Order: sequence, then C-alpha cells, then structure tokens
Amino acid sequence: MKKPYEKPAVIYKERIE
Amino acid sequence: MSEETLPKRNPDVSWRTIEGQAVLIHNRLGEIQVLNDLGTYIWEHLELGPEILARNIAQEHEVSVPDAQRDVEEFMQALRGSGALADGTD
Repeated sequence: MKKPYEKPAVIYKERIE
Repeated sequence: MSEETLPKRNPDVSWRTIEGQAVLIHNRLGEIQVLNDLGTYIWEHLELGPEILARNIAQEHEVSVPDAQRDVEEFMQALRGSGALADGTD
C-alpha cells in the first residue's frame, strides 16, 4: 500500500541575526 | 542528465538529519531551514537526479511520476533560490 503524498517542502525557516 | 548538471549542495551549508527531518544551516546567511519528509529524502539523495528521485517517490507514494518530477524540480529550484543548493554556474 502506497503512502499518502505530501509535496517536498521547507517546513521551517528562520534567519538568525 | 549528466553529472555536471546534477544539483550540488552549497558548501556553505551544514546539515544533519534529526528525527527524519533535514536541518540545514546556511553559515554565511545565518539561516536555518527544516525540510519535511520528502524534502529530506531529496536532499539526502540529490546525486540521483530528479528523474530517478521522482520514480522512487512515485513507487512509494500516491503520486504519478510526472507530478512527482514536477514537484522535485520545483523543490530544487526553491532550494537554489534560498542558497541551499549551488546554482551550478561556478
């Protein structure tokens, strides 16, 4: 049975200043 | 796809997979990125190229090969835009 598909993505992004 | 055109990680980016998710640290920009499951799979296997990555993803997930390939290429473009991947012009 195939897994549900979720598009590849960046799920978190943060600039450290 | 020739080896020259395969996407390459930016050497300025340090990364590690933590609990199944890739955490990328762009040292020069001071930016952190976390990838989801398939994003992590692609990041860890960049050397396979978009076609093989898409085929492998379609074998395991409910998606067609063309749709998977489009998403893989869009994802790589996003990584290129954020500086995680080298743009291949050097």
